[in-house]
Amino acid sequence: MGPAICALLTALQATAPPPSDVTELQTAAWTTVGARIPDLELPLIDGSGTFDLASLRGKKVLLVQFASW
Amino acid sequence: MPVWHELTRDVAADGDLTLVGIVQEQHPDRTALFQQWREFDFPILWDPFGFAGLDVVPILSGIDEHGVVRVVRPNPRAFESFMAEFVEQEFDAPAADVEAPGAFRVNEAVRLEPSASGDAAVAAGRRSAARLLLGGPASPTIDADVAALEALAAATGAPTDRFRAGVARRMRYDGPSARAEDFQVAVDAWRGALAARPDQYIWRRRIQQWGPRLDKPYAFYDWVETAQREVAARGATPVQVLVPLSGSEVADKSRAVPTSDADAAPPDPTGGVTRDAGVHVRVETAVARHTADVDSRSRTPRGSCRVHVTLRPRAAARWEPEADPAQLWIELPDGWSATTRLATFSAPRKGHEAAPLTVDFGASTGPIPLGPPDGGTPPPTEATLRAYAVYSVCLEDGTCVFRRQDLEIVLPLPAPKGPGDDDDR
Repeated sequence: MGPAICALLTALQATAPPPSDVTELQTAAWTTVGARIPDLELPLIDGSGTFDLASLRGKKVLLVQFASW
Repeated sequence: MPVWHELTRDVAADGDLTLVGIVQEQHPDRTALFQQWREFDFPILWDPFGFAGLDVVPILSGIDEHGVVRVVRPNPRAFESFMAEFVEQEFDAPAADVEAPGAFRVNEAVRLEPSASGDAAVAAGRRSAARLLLGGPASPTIDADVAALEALAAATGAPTDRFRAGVARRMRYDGPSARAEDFQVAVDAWRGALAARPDQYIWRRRIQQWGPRLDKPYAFYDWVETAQREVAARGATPVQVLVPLSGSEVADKSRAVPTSDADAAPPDPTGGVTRDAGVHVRVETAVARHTADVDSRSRTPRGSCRVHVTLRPRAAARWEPEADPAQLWIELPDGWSATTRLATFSAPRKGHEAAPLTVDFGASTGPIPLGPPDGGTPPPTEATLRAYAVYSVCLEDGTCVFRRQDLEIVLPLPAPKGPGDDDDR
């Protein structure tokens, strides 16, 4: 493995949160008025990539968590 | 959801409001078809493992430009209030030290290094879930990822981890690395999670999706056929539903009970068809029981369940498209009833002659006794349902043969419960 790849991997790993910071979310995270929303990034359902809710800062958002059924 | 999409169409077009959806369903392609059918022009995120942490849907949240929740469960009948009190309002930024209540970023989680962490099992589980989110059922690391999620569930015993392990198992079952037991293990993992948290309705729905008809609050995917037809009528190609819908997924308890086929004749009455001892086709079964018996809130027909049977060609075997469809004959134990005695597998799709064929049916026996047994012999804890499948399958050399395969399906039975009994099973 070349030094450039090693440096890249090190940098990538440095951005990942340590597992000790893992907090399981609950419904209240989305239903408590006045609370910050969680940091959440997930894949899009059409497989076209991922979407980070943080990218919506500066916008008014209606977040709808639903099911097709 | 369609109501809010319609209500907010203009304000979204003006850039004053952005809609975003999150779904928790197992199969993203189905929601993608729903999105196409309903012409939703906003992003929808896929969260089958439940990292958002919801226990029920729908949940609607109005979030301001600072990422703070300002409105919860807005009423579409009070849309003007929603506009005035949220969309047209200006909100102050929160204090700098107000932190987000938690995080899951798939592109960070996929890079977690378990060996470098203080809690290797948690890190491995998160990384594996992230890899499955990005790679899906065909992910090259799916075996390791299923193992990691199951190791985490075993280590913590946490209901959430058990649920996620089930999600991973079902995901593998839908892909090329499927193992015969995956579907049943998934259902069992979900039941274990639900038993610990019976108010988790998203988990309950995951089981009900494949469960008995009478356990359903509504049909889950009966809209798919209409969506495909209407999208095609618009001149578009419908999003492909990658995993064929099972009967349980379109069943609705409000509909009439399927017509009994008590007069159906067995396809091999003399037992003369040559047996396939699993050489050409692997038979897989899974049983999804009624969810009411994970707790003591209600009583169900004893053993009420949905039985799923899959025929999966081995190696170079292929279905013969021109042959009569494969069938399943069900021998019912005394006192049992089923939605069918003779189930017919769907015909193999052209170009998918090596794909598994599935069929499912409901089965149940008498009601659960209201109290403990009156001494004597305790009631059985399981019943065995015998069945056999007949099918035409073509071998590597082009020869096509008609074969029979016998199977036994073990149906677990809930124990009788006394009033107020609230143990988990």
